[in-house]
Amino acid sequence: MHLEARSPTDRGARSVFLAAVRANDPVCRDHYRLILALAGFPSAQPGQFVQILCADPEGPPWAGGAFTRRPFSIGGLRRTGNDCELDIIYRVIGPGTKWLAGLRPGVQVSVLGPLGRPFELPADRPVAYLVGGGVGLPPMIWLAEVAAAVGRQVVAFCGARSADSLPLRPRGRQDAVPLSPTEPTLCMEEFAQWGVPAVVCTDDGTLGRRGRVPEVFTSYLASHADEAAQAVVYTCGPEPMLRLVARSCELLGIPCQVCLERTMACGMGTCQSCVVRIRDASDAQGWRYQLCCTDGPVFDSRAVVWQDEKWGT
Amino acid sequence: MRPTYDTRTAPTDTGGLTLPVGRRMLAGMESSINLSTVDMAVRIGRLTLRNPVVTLSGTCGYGDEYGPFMDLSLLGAFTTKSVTLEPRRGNAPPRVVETAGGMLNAIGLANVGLERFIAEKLPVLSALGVPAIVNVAGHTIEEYVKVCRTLDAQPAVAGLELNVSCPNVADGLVFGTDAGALGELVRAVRAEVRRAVLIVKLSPNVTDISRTAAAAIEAGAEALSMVNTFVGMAIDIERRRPVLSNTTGGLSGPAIKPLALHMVHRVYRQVAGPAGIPIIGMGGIVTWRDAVEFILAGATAVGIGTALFIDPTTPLKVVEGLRAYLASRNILAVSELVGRLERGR
Repeated sequence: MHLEARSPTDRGARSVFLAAVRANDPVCRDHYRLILALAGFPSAQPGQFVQILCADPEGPPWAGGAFTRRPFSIGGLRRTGNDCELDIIYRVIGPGTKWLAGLRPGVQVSVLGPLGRPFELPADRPVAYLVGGGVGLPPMIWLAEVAAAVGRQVVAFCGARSADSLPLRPRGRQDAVPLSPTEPTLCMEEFAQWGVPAVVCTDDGTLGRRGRVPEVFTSYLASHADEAAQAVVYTCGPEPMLRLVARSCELLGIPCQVCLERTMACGMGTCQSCVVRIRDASDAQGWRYQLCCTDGPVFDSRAVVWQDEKWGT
Repeated sequence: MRPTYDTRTAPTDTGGLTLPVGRRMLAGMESSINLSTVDMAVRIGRLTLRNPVVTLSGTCGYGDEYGPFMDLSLLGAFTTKSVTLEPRRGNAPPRVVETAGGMLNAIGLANVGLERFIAEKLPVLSALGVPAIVNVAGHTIEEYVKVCRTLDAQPAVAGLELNVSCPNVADGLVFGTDAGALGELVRAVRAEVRRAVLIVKLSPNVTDISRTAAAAIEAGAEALSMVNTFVGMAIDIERRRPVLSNTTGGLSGPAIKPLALHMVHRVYRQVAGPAGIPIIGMGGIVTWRDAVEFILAGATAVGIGTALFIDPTTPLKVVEGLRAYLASRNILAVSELVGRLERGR
């Protein structure tokens, strides 16, 4: 377990690192798990991300997979002395991630980070609900480890379109994963290793309960009102999913931290491309732009104007 | 008057570059000179830069963003994100899209506005220990004049760069593509700016960039920065819609380097060189080799923009690569390389 001591907003700690690929293996049909070894990586916390150059660090900038870096949430971090291992769980969707999927152990990649604001674990809320969908699950894995280590009662809610697009490994046989949404069990290896029970659902019912994670999570909240009253909800995934999760939390007055995804070029607050609309009563239109990379990617759900929300102009 | 070149001068190494360095060569020295001996300083108008590498507007924020990644005081100069009289939100996303060898952006001059820039950003900028060039944009001549006059009164502002070429706002290209309108704008600003060095950033989206360059110089520009981004677009064939919410954007990155290099060469030969006006050359520079090309084409200084997004330390690598290149060829000052392109084969 790695509780990082330094302030997550200590900007002096960020840099460009050369990392060695230690492993790069499929987790399911759509996802790979890349393990990177770095020396002297700065303190980092769940919710933060790195920008990986999906091209040969020594090659010309137009060779290889992609020109600008690609952002990836940190799915795990292990330290041994000065050495650090990062888990990057990614879905192959474009030229950058396609290039990543071809990496063999031993080759080097350029990593910029850690970047962004992490999740917060308020001391007065002893319960942590982690709600992740598809490629939004990786930051939840690391958060589960950290939250459990500081004594939170953690429950993970995991969703995907189908079993082969879920970037998690069932513990034991797949058909042993329980269908009940009200009884989380130690069914997924990535969470069970930290003693964190999980509920799993897939859109097509190929693993766990058939259904979408916001519905499953909302029904869990309804049946666990006392526990939920002491919880913070952490969520990452497709924005329609985040919006539904956030709405359930707001109706019950449960704080909800959402980890957003945006197209970004730099990740350092300079290219101004990853804007998020944030509610602002002092603005004539009721919102202003913040940057996903430096103001986020973790935001208070109540502040976010959702991408599909009709709001202002 | 520029020295005439003796093309029979032996190259100083096997690189094949035949510079007339004999006069400046250390007597009897066969091998390369010491790195620390190379004079990297250049002059942009009345401003002396410790080295010729500057960071470019819109790619390095207001100064503190890259602080954790590099020692900004090692730059030749720092150029801010555009400042306008009033704050601007900028365009709706998507604002950027990657293209072959580069990217399109349509940020739309999102910035905090003049008042907050002076109150919040300028103190940070002035503490960087590097000359600060403020990029200024506006809707009207009056707006440019007001912003420039106000900034000229700020001692922390070493230079003012007129952004007359933003392709991503409705009125952005008017001044940049019409030599008459550009001359009028530069003259109006020139009359109000007494202290800061006045730089005009040229648009490449013109038929003949020498005409706008000449108009800017004639109206009192002390330096030209060139070039801004090229207007382009990308289409999402699934949705049959432009990728960018603004429809078009400005293309930057290595994809534009040959185009930008040609324009620097053309303006240096036809206008800026004869007038003795320095050029800050930019467009797709990623490595020190790119920088050498721009300097040979006629740029006195070079700007790093899009490459910062990939590696914020790029300017420092360019400075060191350039210094080593000069030392290995026994060239004692980077200013000696400006425009020293050989003719013929």
